[in-house]
Amino acid sequence: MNAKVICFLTISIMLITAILDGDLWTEPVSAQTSESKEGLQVGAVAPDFQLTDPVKGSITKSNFTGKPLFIFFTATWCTPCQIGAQNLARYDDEHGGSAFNVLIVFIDDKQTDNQFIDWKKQFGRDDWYIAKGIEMANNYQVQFLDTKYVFDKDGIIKWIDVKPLEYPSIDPVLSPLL
Amino acid sequence: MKEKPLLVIALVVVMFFVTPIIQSFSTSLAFEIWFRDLYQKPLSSSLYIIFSVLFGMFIALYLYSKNRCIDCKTSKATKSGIAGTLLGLTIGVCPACFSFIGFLIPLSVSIFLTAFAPIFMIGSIAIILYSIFRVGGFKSISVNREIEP
Repeated sequence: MNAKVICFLTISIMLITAILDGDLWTEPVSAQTSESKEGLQVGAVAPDFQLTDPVKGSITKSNFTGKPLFIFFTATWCTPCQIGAQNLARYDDEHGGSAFNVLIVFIDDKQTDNQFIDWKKQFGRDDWYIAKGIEMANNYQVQFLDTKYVFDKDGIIKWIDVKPLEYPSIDPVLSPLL
Repeated sequence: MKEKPLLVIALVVVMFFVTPIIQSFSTSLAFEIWFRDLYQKPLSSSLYIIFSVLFGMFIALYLYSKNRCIDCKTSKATKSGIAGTLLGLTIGVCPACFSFIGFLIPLSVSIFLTAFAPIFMIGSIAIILYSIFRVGGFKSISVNREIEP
């Protein structure tokens, strides 16, 4: 194939991927459907999960009932996730530090609990939950690092996103749930 | 390359910033992410700088040699150069992050590939170097001018 055609196709695919990012992979808070069935779309009851926090011990979905939950699938070396976590920590501080729960799920199998704890000290807050969760990532069909889910106080999925977490994008998602 | 240094510099700069430029379509954090990555991952950053410089040299050389017969083997060299560039851009940066390659493979595979991204980047650099060689980039201009009719 002509080199110019290959170049053109490559650049086109990369641009289309970047442009479609927001439309395909962000499900807005307002797009609510049936809130009774378990599933992975906005409006569905989030599937249960069981994880182990290296400090706080066993975690299940029911631990978070009563407050909104922000779930962040990441790895300690993921730079966009670090920036997103810092933005979330800033929002958490500005809302008293206990208005919602945060669960950081690490999905690189080679990483250790000590790395997770160091990451939390550097980018998170003491009350955040951390755990390795490769099985949970599979169950939640996580395709990329930086995938985020937000549940309301009843465990209903309200938001799904894969873009780096910008500070201005947090409030429209969380404030209706607080 | 001596004749068009600005072209080489421009191509190097474009390639160096191509990832955050593309990413900036979807997030305003693109350049912050890019510069933090450069600071936090010196090995990957060094390899990416080498990759960008070689890409700039390769494209400049390709454009220069397109209408001149320096080595008369530019077609295969161009294909291998593009393959090397694609390898560097798709697997050499962060396949597990939101990316084209991430759509095609499971997360566990993309995380595995990300762990070895510097090795893929070295492979990409080697392919581009080979392509520069094939285009005639390591031959002196005086020798080439003797070949021309």
